[in-house]
Amino acid sequence: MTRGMVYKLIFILLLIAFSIILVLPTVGERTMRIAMNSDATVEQVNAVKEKFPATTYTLIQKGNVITVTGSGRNLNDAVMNDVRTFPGIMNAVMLKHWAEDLVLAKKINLGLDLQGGMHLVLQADFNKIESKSVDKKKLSEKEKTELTHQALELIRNRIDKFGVAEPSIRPRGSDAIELQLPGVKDPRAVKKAIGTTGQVEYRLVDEEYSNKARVWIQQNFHEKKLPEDTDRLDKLLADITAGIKLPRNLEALWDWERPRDTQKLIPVYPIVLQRQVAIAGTDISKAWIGNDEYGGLAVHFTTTAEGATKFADVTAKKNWGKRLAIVIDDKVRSAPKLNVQITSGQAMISGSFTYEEVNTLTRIIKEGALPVDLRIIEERTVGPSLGQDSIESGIKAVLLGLAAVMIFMILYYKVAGLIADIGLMLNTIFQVAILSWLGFTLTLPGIAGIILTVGMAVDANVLIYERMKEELRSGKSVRMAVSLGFDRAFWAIFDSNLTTLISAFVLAQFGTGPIKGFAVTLTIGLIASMFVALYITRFTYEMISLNKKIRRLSI
Amino acid sequence: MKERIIPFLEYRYIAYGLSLTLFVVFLTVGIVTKGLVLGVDFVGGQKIIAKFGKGVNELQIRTALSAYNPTVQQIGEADSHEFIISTKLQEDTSATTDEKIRESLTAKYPKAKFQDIDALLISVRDAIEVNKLNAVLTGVDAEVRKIGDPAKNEFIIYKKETADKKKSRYSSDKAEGLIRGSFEKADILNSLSFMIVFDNPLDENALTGLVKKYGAAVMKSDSVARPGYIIYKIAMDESDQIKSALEKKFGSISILSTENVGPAVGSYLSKSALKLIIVAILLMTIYLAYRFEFRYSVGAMAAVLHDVILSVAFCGFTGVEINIPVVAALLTIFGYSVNDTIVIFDRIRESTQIETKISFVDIVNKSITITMSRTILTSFLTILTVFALFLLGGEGLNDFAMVLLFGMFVGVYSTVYIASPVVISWEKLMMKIKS
Repeated sequence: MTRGMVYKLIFILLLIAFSIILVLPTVGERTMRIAMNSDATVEQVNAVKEKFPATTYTLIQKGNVITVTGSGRNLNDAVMNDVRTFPGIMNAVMLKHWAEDLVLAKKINLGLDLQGGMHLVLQADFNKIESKSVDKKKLSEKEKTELTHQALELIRNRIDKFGVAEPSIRPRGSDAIELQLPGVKDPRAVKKAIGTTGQVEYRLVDEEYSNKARVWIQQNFHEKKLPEDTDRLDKLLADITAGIKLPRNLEALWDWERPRDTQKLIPVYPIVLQRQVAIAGTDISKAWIGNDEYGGLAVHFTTTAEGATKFADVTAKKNWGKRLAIVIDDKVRSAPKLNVQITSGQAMISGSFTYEEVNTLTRIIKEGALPVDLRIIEERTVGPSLGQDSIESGIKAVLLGLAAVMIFMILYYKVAGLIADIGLMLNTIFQVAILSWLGFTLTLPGIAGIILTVGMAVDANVLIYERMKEELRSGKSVRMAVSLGFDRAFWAIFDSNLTTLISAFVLAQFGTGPIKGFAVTLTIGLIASMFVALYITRFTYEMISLNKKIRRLSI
Repeated sequence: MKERIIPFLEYRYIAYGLSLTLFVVFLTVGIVTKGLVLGVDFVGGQKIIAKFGKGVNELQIRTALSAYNPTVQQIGEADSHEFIISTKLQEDTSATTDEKIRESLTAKYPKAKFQDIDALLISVRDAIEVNKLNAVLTGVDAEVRKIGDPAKNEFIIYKKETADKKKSRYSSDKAEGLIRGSFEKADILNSLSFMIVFDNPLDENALTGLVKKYGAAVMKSDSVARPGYIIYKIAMDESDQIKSALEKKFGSISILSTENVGPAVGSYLSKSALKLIIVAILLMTIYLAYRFEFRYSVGAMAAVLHDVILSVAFCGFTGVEINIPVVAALLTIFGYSVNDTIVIFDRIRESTQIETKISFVDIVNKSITITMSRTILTSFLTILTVFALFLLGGEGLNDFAMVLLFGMFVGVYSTVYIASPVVISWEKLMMKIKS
């Protein structure tokens, strides 16, 4: 063996080891921790236990916490989402697999069709805005895009209360918003929340009662974190209202913040506002990001003519030092202090803001000024149980397809078939490894893509083997036949795979998630299969033909 | 070593004829039965997969939903009682329904004053004082009224009339949250309902009849009390309406998935599907012309179009609806068919460089013969895997796998009998034009 071949061997072995580690968080042993409510009934606990029969899972219960262990095939996000809908469950989370900490491996992302969830497309309707504008002219694409982007903030605000772990909310084109909400429990409520028109308003803060409310929370609420679900939060507000004997002209709300790098809003502290709306969202005409006199970031805005009078009132000297809360859908998102009377209709909000904070605030103000009408134009909801069934049948189909092809290859090509089979298994491992490592989403059509690549991957081997047979028949030596087989088959493999890649690439442009998943798995599978056939299988044959005594190939 | 060469090209006119016959047969049968059916993805509408109890059949479901004119199809094993119910698009949404109800009420009773509110109907299992409810709801400007049988604890909650409408803090959401938080034994009978309160005596039957006409369900009404009220519930959209209609008829059912596609989406998708197919053809032609020669592009594209067109005709023939997965299957056939063809072309190109003595037709015949074992082998293996998908892939991939299977069968045939012969025919045609 030459030195070059030793290096090649080491490279291949390392690659295989690395890929296997990458696949582990997806197929290896996983653990899920289920927290039951403290008042969960015995039936509710048993229902959870029945979901995880001892034949496939290990289950340990300690007080209200049930820990389930099982293989990634049986314990995945679809199962987690399903368990979360059981009555009496506080929460269910997947614990990290050790490989995820070690090598940044990730479990494979499951598409909504596999893990269950809701996919929504909202269409912005600009008719109202266009007819409101002074010159009644159509909005440009750029303006539409900007309006759609500012509506994102509003949607995030509304989605937040449903406790979706990883919501994806992003614009699609200039006038649509796409939402992916994995594992959402109550699709109907989500649709209702999105359907209501958003409201941004500006109300004065009552510092005296705000302090009382904060003291009340410290004395009467002893949990580490504020609750996340709306019902309990509302109840808590009602308790505060009663506890501090809030006068009727005031109202307690939560101040919400978004921690860095998350899409989730969390309530931080209670704040008491006047019931009277000082300035309506629509009193603002424009808002943009700029600088304050010290060069820090600030939000600038101008008011409408009517807004200017209101604004002068609110910012009159008697209110200096008070805070003006910006409220969106009953959540306080910011409360800047007033310190100068503004009569010009132009003002700014300054503070030590990060760019992201300023950006968010500007969008909220703009959204309040020009609310965009959103309509649901597409909805796809998959229940978690259907997702689990799809995963199960998908895995079965992959295994059956793989087994059928592998058995046939051994029967037809003997030892060469065995080598091709090993390549086939490697190919599937590489495919899943790359998918999870690069964070692609596996969908049901994606599974079809994996199955299809099994058939297509073996094509490279067939081309090479048929060519080798031909060369052997024409009387070439084993070494020559091996070398010629690979060389002459190369362009046929390259060209034929490339055309399939072209169509996969085109398919990937087809906007909808599931089909994209198919195109992506097919692309990755084809590239992996070319690598396996032309590099790893070829290397295997080079090793075999090192042995000069070989007179015959088992092919 | 002398190999047997099969003169494939001699059969090309038979092959052309065969393809044409097949196409005509598919087309006629397709047109006679249903024609090419575009699925929910393209025309808009809803698709619900639901699991029913024992003994439910397609006909029963269709009868229960006759108002929506649905397509019902059982899926999976017979004992799983799972059905796909799909309806094509209808225009109404809950908001427009509510508006229509209000419009026609105002038209019919011009003198009556209607107040519109989203209301909440609750039932409490313990005896409870109205005051207590009022105390809980103090912050949200809600009006609480006890209704119905005095023995029952049923209340309606709606927006209190305030002097300044803008200042009202009422929303049924908030009220619902507060009640759920404060009274464990309170059942929210129907959230998401609408209520109309009126102050003149009205004919209750005419009123409920009018509301029902729009497909809304009347929950409670009282025209004797002052003010009178009628609470009705409009399902959010058609899929919700279908769900409630099914629940009413068959008791508990579980909804496995719903799809709801608007008309704009459908046309957006069909446009982009068409665009993509054209882009794919262009890209492929350019690539083949670059790698081989233009005449090969013509042959390959003829074979590909042959496969795709026949597959579409096959969908019409079998009544498979054209949905997104089926389009994906068509595009896959597209790529796979070229894949097969290229291997033969590659061989023809190689042979034309080596063998200069024999005619082009013979080279083509020889190339097809030599690559035959590979063509059959890989196609067989790929078809094997797709067959596994067809058998086990579940409902979501059934149509996809079936169309793909057919396309692959046709693909093998067109690779041999269409692609290369067209190259020769094109060659001859060009010669004729030149001379």
